[in-house]
Amino acid sequence: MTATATATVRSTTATLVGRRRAAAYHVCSFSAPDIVAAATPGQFVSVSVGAPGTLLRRPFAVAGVDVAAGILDLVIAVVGEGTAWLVGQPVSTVLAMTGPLGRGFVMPVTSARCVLVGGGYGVAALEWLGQLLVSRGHVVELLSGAATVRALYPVSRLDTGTASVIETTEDGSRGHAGLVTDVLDERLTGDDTAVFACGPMPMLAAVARIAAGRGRPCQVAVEEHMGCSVGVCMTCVVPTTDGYTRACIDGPVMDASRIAWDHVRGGSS
Amino acid sequence: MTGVPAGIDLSVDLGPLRLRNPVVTASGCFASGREMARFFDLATLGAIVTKSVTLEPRAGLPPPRMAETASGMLNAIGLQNPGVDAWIARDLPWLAAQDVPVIASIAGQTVDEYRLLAKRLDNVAGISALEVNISCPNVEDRGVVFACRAGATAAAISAVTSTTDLPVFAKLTPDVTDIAGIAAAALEAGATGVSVINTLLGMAIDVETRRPKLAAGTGGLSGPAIRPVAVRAVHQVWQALGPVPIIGIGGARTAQDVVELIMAGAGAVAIGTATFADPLAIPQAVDGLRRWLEDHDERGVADLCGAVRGPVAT
Ligand SMILES: Cc1cc2nc3c(=O)[nH]c(=O)nc-3n(C[C@H](O)[C@H](O)[C@H](O)COP(=O)(O)OP(=O)(O)OC[C@H]3O[C@@H](n4cnc5c(N)ncnc54)[C@H](O)[C@@H]3O)c2cc1C
Ligand SMILES: Cc1cc2nc3c(=O)[nH]c(=O)nc-3n(C[C@H](O)[C@H](O)[C@H](O)COP(=O)(O)O)c2cc1C
Repeated sequence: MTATATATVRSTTATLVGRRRAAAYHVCSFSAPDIVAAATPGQFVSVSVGAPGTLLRRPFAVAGVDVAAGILDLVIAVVGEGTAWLVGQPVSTVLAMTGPLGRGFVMPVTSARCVLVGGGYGVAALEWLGQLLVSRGHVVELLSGAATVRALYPVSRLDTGTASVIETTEDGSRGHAGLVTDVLDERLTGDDTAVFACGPMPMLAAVARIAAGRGRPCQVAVEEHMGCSVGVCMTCVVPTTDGYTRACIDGPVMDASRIAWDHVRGGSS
Repeated sequence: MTGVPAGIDLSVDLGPLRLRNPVVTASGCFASGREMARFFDLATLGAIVTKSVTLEPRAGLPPPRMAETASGMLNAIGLQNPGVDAWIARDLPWLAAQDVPVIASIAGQTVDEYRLLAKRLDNVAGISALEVNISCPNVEDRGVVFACRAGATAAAISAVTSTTDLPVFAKLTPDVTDIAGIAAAALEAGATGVSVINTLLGMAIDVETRRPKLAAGTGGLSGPAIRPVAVRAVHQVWQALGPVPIIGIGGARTAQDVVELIMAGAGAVAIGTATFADPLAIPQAVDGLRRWLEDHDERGVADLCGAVRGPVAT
């Protein structure tokens, strides 16, 4: 089964309706009913930014939706001018937004143990995925990793009997000390286990390797520098067994076995 | 066309080509066309200029292929494309079924490759013209870009014009001292007109890592940052060669930008990078153009071609 490429994509405007902090991240909530109605976990939106001299939109994963209210959340790490501008905007700012973009995670068809592996802000989209998986009767284990406790995205909505959260920090400031991938292998023993990952490319490469070693299916949400976010500029390509493929339209969620990890920056072991 | 107030004529002639309006896509900025058809009706366009295709498939360069710069961007894609045969089989039939002229862009590494590409595309249904991207390294001349030398320009363009009767536009690089001289060489070699300009070669360095921001080191600069260069280049060609068909390209986003390039001498204007910043940039520019003409009591866009006046005397 393949996720539908975004036939329902809209280029529209979105109104900032709420802002809050979550550890090192800024959670920005936007009213964008048309986009919300069609979005699935793993998909993303592109947002216009008004920082002087900036031109291109910035891509962000949809971190969660409130369908009834027509609101979506973005979890933003400030890394440069565009993200700094974005998190500094007051509520009721109207921005151009296009979405939902790309392919999201494909839900398992039969009952499965789902191991979700996230790094940094990547955990936010997985929390949403986890909620949907739980509601469909799957067992969910979310492994959330970051360098330090401040960069650990605080998961609050996976507090159910069939979901558990394991945290790791590289400096040991919270949870298991080490990499999120250190605790992955031992969790992939069951035949019905499926892996879903979202985070930095080197982490995805390690997750893909471990999942392949156990013969488990693995979907990853890739990230690459994007120009247009809609499939026309050919910049956000990822090396696959089939040549360079656009992350924005053939991804960002891809089957890990498709990706030529040895050719990904920071992707070889 | 619906929605056009009586008396306003957006159509333009580019040599033998009649376009319903002067706004076209820039090569390499519109993929196969299907991606953008999700956002607007392609019949809004004057024409579609397609991504340059080469004789053989090209894998393209490794990422990062893009770096944003002040009001612009650098790209180094490396002409990733499926090759001319796969393009004819997979992308052209869909494009040809849209209600819009298709201008096919070709790129080669040798004069003979240009000839073979023209031969391959000659008499293929659905193609209205060729744009010959000669901003490519000539492997038979130590990698010097064809469009940097009048002789190589003439050789590549003659190879095409002697092979097909399709209208031919030579796409020029601004990285030369005398762009009008190169344009003259292209026209003498039989080109119908010229497309001015391709990207400017640029470079950006991450000062923390001391490495180039692009994997390829250097890349082509596009977007609003280059618009004054495009306006200048179009105008130099227009002044030197008179009313020849020019597709003006570089940094256009709004209707005013389109009008500016037309006043400099362009018969049509291609929009590239602006589409990346806003998928609706092109249809908005077309609507804006209609309103601009109305507001300025102008009847036809063709009347504005080369209409720039001399500088104010002091
Ligand atoms: C599909 C996708 C989903 C994403 N989801 C999120 C998300 O949910 N939350 C979040 O905080 N960020 C996310 N990102 C990354 C985010 O888009 C970039 O951090 C942002 O564009 C940087 O903009 P800037 O103007 O602040 O930084 P710039 O000034 O452009 O750059 C600052 C630094 O960020 C790097 N950078 C720029 N663009 C990207 C990019 N697209 N990907 C990775 N690094 C980049 C630059 O190399 C530079 O080192 C996502 C990226 C993609 C491609
Ligand atoms: C990502 C990208 C890919 C491009 N690919 C091609 C190409 O294949 N052939 C070509 O002739 N020009 C190519 N160009 C150049 C554009 O057609 C255009 O000349 C240039 O970008 C300036 O216009 P703009 O500022 O409106 O983008 C490309 C430009 C960009 C940004």
